[in-house]
Amino acid sequence: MMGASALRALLTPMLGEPGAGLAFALVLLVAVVVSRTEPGNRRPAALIVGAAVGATLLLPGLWLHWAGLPPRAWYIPAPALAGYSAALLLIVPAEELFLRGALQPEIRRALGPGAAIGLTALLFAAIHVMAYGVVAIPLDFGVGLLLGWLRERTGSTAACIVAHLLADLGSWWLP
Amino acid sequence: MKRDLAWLGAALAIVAVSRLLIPGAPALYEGIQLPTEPFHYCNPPANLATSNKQPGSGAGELPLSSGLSQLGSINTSDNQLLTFFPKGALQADGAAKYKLTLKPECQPPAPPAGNKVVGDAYNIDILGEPGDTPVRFLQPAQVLMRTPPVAYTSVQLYYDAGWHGTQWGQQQDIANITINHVGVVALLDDGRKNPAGKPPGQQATGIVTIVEVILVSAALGIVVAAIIVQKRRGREAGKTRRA
Repeated sequence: MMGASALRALLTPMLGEPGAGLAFALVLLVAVVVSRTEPGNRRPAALIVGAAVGATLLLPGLWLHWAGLPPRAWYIPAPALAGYSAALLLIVPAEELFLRGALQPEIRRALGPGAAIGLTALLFAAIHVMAYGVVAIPLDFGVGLLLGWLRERTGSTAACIVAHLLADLGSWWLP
Repeated sequence: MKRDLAWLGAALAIVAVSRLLIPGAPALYEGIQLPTEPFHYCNPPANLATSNKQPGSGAGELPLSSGLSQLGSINTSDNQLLTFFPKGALQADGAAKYKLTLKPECQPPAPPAGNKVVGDAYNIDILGEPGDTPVRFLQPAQVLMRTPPVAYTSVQLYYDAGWHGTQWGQQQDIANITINHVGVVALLDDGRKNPAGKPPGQQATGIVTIVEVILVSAALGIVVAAIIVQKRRGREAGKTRRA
């Protein structure tokens, strides 16, 4: 994971954000295939719980918007949004399949569910420091805990993908 | 169930607190940094002269109801300046409504000695209609002003032939300013408080790198340790079964 993250940092100046993000996602997906990911719960109810968690993650941003802060998308060139949405559709599932789908069950088997949630959350925060800086660590760690809990509670990696995608895409239109 | 609620509560508390109290943390979780529309300069730096777009203006009206100006928000066409007026913020004798205009002031009044204007200054003008009567602020209004990636040390408002300090805060690339008068609002840099001359938010790059390395190493070490522990347990279990 950290190798993929480092590769992404190296490729960003050459390929741009979406291109390097896609390379990062492809490396993770290869790792997921190689590591024989545990099949998760695919029931629709799990996806609904995932959507609810994703919507909950948007609430603080909604609060900030009501308090008067402008949405991020106001300052993003419109053509860029389509390209970035496409990149997101690959990067988010790759991150979730690797972290919550492959790694979390492995750590759970070795150290138990609490450590599995905590360690994957730590890793989730660590891989985003390169893009967002240390200020993002508490937020990303909290979101990682939430997604890890979601994986343990529902047994579904797809639920985590739904929550992650919704939180990401929704936050473009929030401060 | 109790354990579930504890996990959920702790995670949500961390998310809410860090989201609301750390404004520099983007609420994005996939490692992408979204491109932002370049800052629109009135007077662009030489290297941006060809690509620069001029900042936009804005205009609007605040209606009056029961003698009070109504809650309203006016912004410039490129959203570089947003203004928010609470209910009852303005008063003008005989006014039936208020006319607001926001214009980039490309040649602002000379800043106080030792200061320079950073980014764009904007003229915020409000008149009571009919008759273009001057207004008084009964309550302060909020102004959100997009800032360029250049350091500034104060935000001031020019009126009555002088610059006046304002209450302001910084959130990412936005200055959040409280005003209680019409006038020209501008970001100023006195060149002293921020001697490094770096834009706010880019001063911790060295610390960021060190923390990155520590975090990445710690995370990697923990994962490797977990895998080793798991393998040892497996081996010990195998030995016990054989014995």
